[in-house]
Amino acid sequence: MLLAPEKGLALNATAAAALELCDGARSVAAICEELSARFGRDAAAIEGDVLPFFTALRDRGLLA
Amino acid sequence: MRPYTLIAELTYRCPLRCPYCSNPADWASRHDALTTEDWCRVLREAEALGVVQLNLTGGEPLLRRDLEAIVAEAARLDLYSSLITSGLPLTRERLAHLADLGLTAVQLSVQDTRADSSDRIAGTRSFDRKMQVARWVKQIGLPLTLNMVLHRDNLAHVAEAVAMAEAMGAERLELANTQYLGWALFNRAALMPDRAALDAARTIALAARDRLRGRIEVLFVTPDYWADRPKACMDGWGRRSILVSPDGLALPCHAAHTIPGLTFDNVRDRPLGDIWRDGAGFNAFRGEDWMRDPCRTCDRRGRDFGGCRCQAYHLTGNAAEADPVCALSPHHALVSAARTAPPAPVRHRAARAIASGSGAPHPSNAHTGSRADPPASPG
Repeated sequence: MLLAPEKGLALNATAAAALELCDGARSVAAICEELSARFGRDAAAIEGDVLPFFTALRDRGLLA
Repeated sequence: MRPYTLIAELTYRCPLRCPYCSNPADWASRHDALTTEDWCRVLREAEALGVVQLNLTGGEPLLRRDLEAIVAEAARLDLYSSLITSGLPLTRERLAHLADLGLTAVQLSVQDTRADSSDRIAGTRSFDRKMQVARWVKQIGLPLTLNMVLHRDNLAHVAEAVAMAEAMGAERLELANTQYLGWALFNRAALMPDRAALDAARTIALAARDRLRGRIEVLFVTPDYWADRPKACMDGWGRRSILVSPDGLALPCHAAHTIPGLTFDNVRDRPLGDIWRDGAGFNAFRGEDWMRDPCRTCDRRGRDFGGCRCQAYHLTGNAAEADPVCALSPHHALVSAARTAPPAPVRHRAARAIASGSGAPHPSNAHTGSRADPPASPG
């Protein structure tokens, strides 16, 4: 679960894995490559899911 | 059903005397009954129930000298702990120590954007110190929320509040209009904004929200008196949150114990999990069985849960009525009349409740027909 003042977001396993890879050093592309290797899905398809997720988190102040 | 948030009202004492304080009118007759160990046990019991968020509030939580021990226990339990504070009394050293112990975030109140009016509303000199505290929070590296409760006297300063949050480097700005319970209900005629001022403030706040998206989260909470449907108060009675009052009562919200006839358990007498699941007060307004018309058949009943039970009681005398801010409520005229009632002078929170008949701007009077009694104490 991702927690912030006055809110919390329950993450599924994939979302949690994507977020755990956000270390400030990896690029989005590198994160998607990593997830692709881990979950056996095409990296481009993963990027289609991950980008809107990251954008939504950034808009809500949950990801810098 | 599990609670996510524990609201720990560590004390009702406070150096500020804001006229919209949400504490009960009889706060001064209630004492800080819980020991350090009581609070730490409450935190453990809450965590075992599934609580992940801890709001340390009051009154002023900094007045508890054992705040450090409580914060340390919260950190040990991996709770997200927010200190909700006036900023007084605090030193940089104490704040740094709280951060070291694992405090997660700070919510700092200001009463207005200018020192003279902020101090006037707070009833004490405090603004300059608050600005200092905001700098410390950022220097120490904790997330900062700036809170400003809105009402007639500061609603025109929303743009300045946005600028202040930007200058401070706050991550969140919470612009919540006054909720008319507790002291705010006594002061309703003094605090109620008019529609034009409210609309102007909302426009500014929403533009700031869009402009600052991703940088500062801007929240604007409309006063429900100016809405035609009620808020989902507390996300529903006994659904998401537990509040523990300074005297040890476990409650569904900060004012539930002002509703007479309900029984609330004390955390010194009964484990929190039992109270949450089986406590009579927690079950009084859970689900929909308690509802009457218009809520009973309303297609919004699963979203707004009938609104605020405390507001229903304090305006109509019956907590099972629909929240009168709802345009479908048979008592809605109480609210629409209050929107445009003549302004009255502000009375600060004091040790003694404002008695009806004292000449105070009490909301209950002949032309609104609303309830005369101050909030009652629990049994």
